[in-house]
Order: sequence, then C-alpha cells, then structure tokens
Amino acid sequence: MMNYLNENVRDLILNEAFRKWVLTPDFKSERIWRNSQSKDQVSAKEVEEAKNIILDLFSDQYPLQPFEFDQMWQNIDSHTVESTFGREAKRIITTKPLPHSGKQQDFKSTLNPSVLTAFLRVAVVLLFLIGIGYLILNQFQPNMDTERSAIASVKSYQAPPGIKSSITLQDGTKVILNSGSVLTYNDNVDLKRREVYLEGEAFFDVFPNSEKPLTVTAGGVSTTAIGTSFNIKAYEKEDVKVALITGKVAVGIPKIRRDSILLKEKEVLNIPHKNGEISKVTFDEDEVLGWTRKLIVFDNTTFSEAIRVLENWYGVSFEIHNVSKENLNISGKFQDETLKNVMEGLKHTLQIEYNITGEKVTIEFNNQ
Amino acid sequence: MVESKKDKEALDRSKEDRYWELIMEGDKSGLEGMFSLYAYELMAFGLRIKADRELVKDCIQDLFIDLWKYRENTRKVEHVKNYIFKALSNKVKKEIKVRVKRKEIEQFMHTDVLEEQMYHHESKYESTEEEPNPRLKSALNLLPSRQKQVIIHVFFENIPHKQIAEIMGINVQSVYTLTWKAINNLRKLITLLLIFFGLDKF
Repeated sequence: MMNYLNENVRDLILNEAFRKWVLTPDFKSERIWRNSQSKDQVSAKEVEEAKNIILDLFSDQYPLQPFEFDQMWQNIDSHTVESTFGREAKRIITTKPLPHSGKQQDFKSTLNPSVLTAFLRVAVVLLFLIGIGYLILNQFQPNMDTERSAIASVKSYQAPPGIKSSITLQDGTKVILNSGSVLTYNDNVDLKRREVYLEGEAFFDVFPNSEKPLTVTAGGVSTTAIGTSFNIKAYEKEDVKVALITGKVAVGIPKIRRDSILLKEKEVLNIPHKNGEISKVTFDEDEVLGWTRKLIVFDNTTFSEAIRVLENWYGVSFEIHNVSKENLNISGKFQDETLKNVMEGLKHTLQIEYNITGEKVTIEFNNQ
Repeated sequence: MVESKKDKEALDRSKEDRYWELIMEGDKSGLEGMFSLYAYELMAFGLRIKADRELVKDCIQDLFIDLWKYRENTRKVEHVKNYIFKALSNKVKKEIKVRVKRKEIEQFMHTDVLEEQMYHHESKYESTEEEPNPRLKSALNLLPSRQKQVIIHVFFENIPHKQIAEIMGINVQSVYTLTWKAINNLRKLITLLLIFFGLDKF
C-alpha cells in the first residue's frame, strides 16, 4: 500500500502551502486547494490521500495506541470500584493468562517419559502454587498501589486550637492556617490542577504555576488561582468569605451553578450560609488579615462568631448563660492580647461577668 | 467482504449486549470488555469532532467511569453502541465549551503577566504543533540524523525550504528528496513500532 503513492501525492505532501492548509486550515488557503481539486490538476482522491498521510504522521489525529489504551483503562479501573470480591478474581483469571507456557517443551526431547511425568507432576504442582501466589498478589497489589500514590501526593495539616500554623506546601505555596482549621493538599502529578481542601480559615500565598492552577475548595466554594494571595474563611454554619489581597482569582459555587466570579484586589466575596445575596465589597485589611498578625478584629461581628474566634484563638471552650439579646454584635480590636484582657474589654461593652478556669470560660449576662 | 463485515457487526452487537448486562449486574469485566470493544472506534470518532487527543481521551475515560457509576440509574437502552457514541459526542462538545470558558478566565488572570501574553501572541502565528507527539517522537529517534533534522526543520520549525537548504548545506532539491525519504521511513517505522513494541515504552 505504501509504495503506491504517486507523484501528485508526493508533490502535495512536500508542498509547504498544502501542509499548512492540512495542519492549520484557514479560509484563504482552503479556497485554493478546493479550486485545485475542481480543476482536476490533481484528483480529489489524491488530495485526500496526501492529507491523510500528513494528518496521520504530524497531527494529533492518529489512531489510539496500545499504550494509550492501557493508560486509559488504568485510569478508568482506578476510578471505578467493584463491590463483590469474588468477581475480581474471576476477572484476573480471564484477562491475565499465567506466563508459564513456553518452557516445558524444551525438556521433552532430552528426558525419558517416566522422568518426564514425574517432572511434570512436580511442575504442575509448582505452577499451581505459583498461580495461586500470582492471584493473591494481583488481588492485593492494585489496592496497595493506589494507597501508596495517594499517600505520596495527599497531605493533611491541622492547626490545633490556640495555635496558628505556617505551612509551605510541596509546590512552594505558603499557607497560614488559623487555629482549629484543617487543610488537605493534593498534588498528584496526574492531576491538571493543584487541589486544596479547607475547613476553617487560611491565608494563601500561591506559588505561581500557570500550567497547574491551584483550586481551594472550602464550604462548597471553589477558588482558583495561578499565583496570587488570598484569604478564605469557611467555618461550618457561617458565611464563606473569599478575600483577594493581590493578583486575581476565579470563584465557583457549584451548588448555585455559578462557575466563575472574578475578584479584583482588595475585594471580598461573601457567600451567605443561609439564604441571601452573594455580595462583593472592598474590605478592611485588618479585619481580613489581622489574624495572621496576632490582631483580633471584631467589626459588627455576631456574638456566636466572636465566641468561635476566641475559642480557636486561645484554645478554650465557652459556656454561656442567660443570653439576653437575640442579635448581639460586637466591635473592637485586640492586638496580641491575653484572653483575660480581651474578656475585660468585653465585660464592659457586653455587660457580662466571666470566669476563666483552665481551658473553660463561663460567661454570665447581667440581666437588668 | 461485505458478509464478514456484517458478521463482525452482529458479533459486536451480541458482545456489547452481554457486556452491558454484566455492567448492570455490577460485574466489572463487562466494563473492561466494553472498553476493549469500542475504545479504538471511540477515539477515532471523538477526534473527528475535536482534533484534541488529550481532550478526547479524558472524555472517553469519563464516559466509562460514568457508565459504571450511574449503572443503577440507567434506563433501558435499545442500542448500546449508539448510546455510547452519542454520550461521547455530548461529552466532547460540553468539554469544549468548558475549556473555552476556562481559557477566558485564565487569560483574564494573565493580563498582568507580560511574558504570558507574549507566549500566546507567538503561538498564534507558529500554529503547527510545537512538539512531535510521542508516537512520532519514538519513530523520529530511529531515523538517520539528517532525516530527523530535515523533518524537524520542515514540520516543527516551519523553516522555508530555501533556508533549510542553507542550514544543512545542500540544495533545495535535496531538501525535497531527503524529506520524502524521511516521510516514507517514518511511515514504515511507525507501523513496525506498533507491531513489535506496541509503542508502550513511550
């Protein structure tokens, strides 16, 4: 088949303009080749043949290759779980024949029959044992492999209450993790993006890599960046806040089918925990980043959020009695203060009595 | 000839129905069988919709993963092959839209980075592929060095023939002859590699 290429086909293949048309068709050259086809200088069949040869060799459009087939099946296989144990064994027997068939024939000519049968008997038993061993190995090998690669690429960090952690991820991204927050990082080489999962609050200074954007998923919100710095706050039962300090990010919220809200510097996106509108406003840097500089900022903060902040910050738990008002908001700044001083401040504004014993704080509202 | 093609189709139909049943029963050998039966055809089909190898491969993988994941919710299917090919077509079209959108976002985020813009700018004009695909690369490595050189100049660096002649110290006619020789050798090598090694080293 290969030798039948005639001169016209050869000339087309060697023609720069023709190749350009095949590999990057654009309108102008398209017309030229169509014309030449109609004038019958070269037959349409020849144009087609030359085109196919070029595409087959130099474009992406060649047939699926066996190694690609294997890779794809491996990917599918590792993403689909079979529940029944017995079926797995059956599958291995049918798809992977045991590799021991070739050798015996070599012995036949040199050994007499009785030795041969004795030998075969041993060989059969051995093969059987090897076969069982092979099956057992196959049974457990795939699981071990996936576990190993998962361990190698997925890392989890947790900042205990009262302690803020500074972390540098494998890719060079710097993260400050607020007290009581959990961060999981996945940089599997096979993935097209760096994946981070966050519960709580963290500040990210993303190491630039335009090939592999970093996505932080937190509280049902995904924030994608290439190389920027931003702060995400995503505590259970609170609004999610994404604040951009430098660069650009795109925020997606799958549950309401918004896939790319773009933020500018110094903008914070507030995604309400309950019903309400998503809002985008400029922010006060102290309020958003204060926690990374030992600064507690309450700016019209709800009482419950303030308590959560203090619990995580100082690693204590609160017990509250006699809450008098329903919607209680707090404002105030505390720079590197002890819990006692913060409580002293709150004592007057909120009209409360408090008591700190070890890691427990009791608050009693003064009811007038 | 026609008869055997019909036979093959009938055989495929009976296989696909069996594999489909196995999948619905939760037996993964059905999924593997179905994948083996149609992966090659699906790849060719997908590439006709969008000449982007990685995109099509991703879509085929997703398709089979979904087939398994949602097997319990799948309604009865009359013609399995049509169903699978239609599903791939939908997936590829959807993925194209997603990537266009993603590219817009990435470009938006890149507007500050001068380097990045220049890169995009350049690639618009040198629009053939920047690098030989893995299959071609492995065959190229087996070519005599002059033939390999001429292919790289002609097909990947898009240098005019006249200039190539100067670079390689030969006349323009020899550039044509050498290119033609190289192309024929490449076609043979690719077939050979496929037969003997399955190209799985690359």
